[in-house]
Amino acid sequence: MNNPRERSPAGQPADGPPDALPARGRASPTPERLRVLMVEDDAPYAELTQRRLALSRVVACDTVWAASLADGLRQLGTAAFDVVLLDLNLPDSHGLATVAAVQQAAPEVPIVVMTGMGGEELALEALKKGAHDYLLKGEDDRMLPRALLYAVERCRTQTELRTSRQELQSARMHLLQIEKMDAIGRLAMGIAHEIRNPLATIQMGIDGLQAGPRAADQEDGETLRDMAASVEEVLALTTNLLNFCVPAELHLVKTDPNAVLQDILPMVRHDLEKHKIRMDLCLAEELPPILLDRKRIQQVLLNLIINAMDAMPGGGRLTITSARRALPADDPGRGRRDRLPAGAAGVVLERQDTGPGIPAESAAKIFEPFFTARGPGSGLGLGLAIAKNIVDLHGGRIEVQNQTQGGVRATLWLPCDGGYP
Amino acid sequence: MNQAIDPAAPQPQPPRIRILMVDDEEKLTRLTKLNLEREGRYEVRTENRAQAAAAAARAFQPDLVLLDVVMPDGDGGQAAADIRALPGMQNVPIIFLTATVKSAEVDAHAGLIGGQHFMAKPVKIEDLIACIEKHTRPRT
Repeated sequence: MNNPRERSPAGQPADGPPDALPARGRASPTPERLRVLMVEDDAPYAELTQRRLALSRVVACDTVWAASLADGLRQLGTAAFDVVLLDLNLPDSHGLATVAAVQQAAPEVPIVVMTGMGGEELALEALKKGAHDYLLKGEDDRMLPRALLYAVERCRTQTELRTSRQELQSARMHLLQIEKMDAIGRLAMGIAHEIRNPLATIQMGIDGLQAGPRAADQEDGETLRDMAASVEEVLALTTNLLNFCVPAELHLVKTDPNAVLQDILPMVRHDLEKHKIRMDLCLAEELPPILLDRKRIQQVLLNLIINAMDAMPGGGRLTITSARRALPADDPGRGRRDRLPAGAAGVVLERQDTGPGIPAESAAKIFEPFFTARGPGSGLGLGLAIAKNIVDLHGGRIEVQNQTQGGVRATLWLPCDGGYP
Repeated sequence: MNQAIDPAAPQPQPPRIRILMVDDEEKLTRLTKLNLEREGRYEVRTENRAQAAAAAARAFQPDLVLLDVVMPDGDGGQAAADIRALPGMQNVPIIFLTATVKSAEVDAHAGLIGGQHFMAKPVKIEDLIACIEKHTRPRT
């Protein structure tokens, strides 16, 4: 009947327990039910503590008892707990290693150490290892419910603070990226303007000569045609530069994501063969059409595939995948203006190479404008920065990560129907 | 009352279309003037300072203005406003000839951006002539 492993009902005693708050009218903490995992090998002490917690007026507790570390870890794996009340000396674990083991198993659950082992040094070490409080059996028993409650509240506050910091950092990085891309856009527009003005004069000169008698001469006529073609080439270069660097308004059209992939394959097939890279296509059937700017997304995918080719100069394998995928709960887009709910519906277009991977020192910088790991003369280092900009404009996500089995996986996630499931 | 027509008699030439081109690129204005006047239908006056655009328009009374947007001494938009503020010039067609827009952008909006007529530099002479013809009627 009194199996201590079962949850104990929290009760309110007729007489005030030792840890009851003193005077009436005082602000009491918001009552809530704590799910407590007590890891304690001393059965009588465990029962006593369970009763104490059940009678506490500070906070209602549902306590589950585990008599060993292994049992405790098993409980942590099967049920959710707000706090772990942990004895340091257990049949299968001793001292601070017990704290480390529990923390590793459930890093988000606060730990309150309750032990017979004394000493401020050990207490401080336990706190450094991640324990939220350190109580001594017998001496601090009365403080236990409050200590549990405060540990939970402290942990929650710390988590909120950490999340806010991450969001702030993410927002700062996003803003920095926007500012950099804005600067690049201005630079590109300035360059295009300065090139097109003299180009206009050259074009007008060519037109004038073509209308004159010299155009009838075969050689002169050919020279003029070559000059006109060169003007077109330079003009196309400036247009490409602008298209590349200044994300214009997107032309969003409901499009089959697989069709976008299929469009670019003929463009890269020859180079893949030349580099002895085998391509595997794993395209999901019946993907929902998504709103995208076909040319822009092609530009992104082309960039990712060219990067893969550069990573495998001696040959390798390129796997291209498409699939339906919801936005993961650990969406890196936290803090962004267009934050989407976890589970937002979407489609991924992914490519994986068998190259050497991204050096650790470069991993954080790959989306930064003008960053290139390929050395001087191999490009401006704008490809991924612009790709990210384009994907951001779509409300999507782009990730480039080393894989544990080697190689790099680049994932482009695009939302379906605005991303809401 | 039929009058006999002498086929040998010289036909009256329609008056030439007067074009004012304002652009700080002197080489461009010189070559554009040369190419347009070679057609025989246009009389072109060039001006390389934005701030002198209105004075040139007052003196020349153009049928159409070709106007650069970014000039060192002033903005083409302001020059256009100054020209249109002149008596009789409210409705003079003004074509902004500029390197600040891409031809694809101009084409996408049928030559109209923000209610103004645009052409992207560099422009081919036949496209420029087509645009001028579209926006002008010879004086009678």
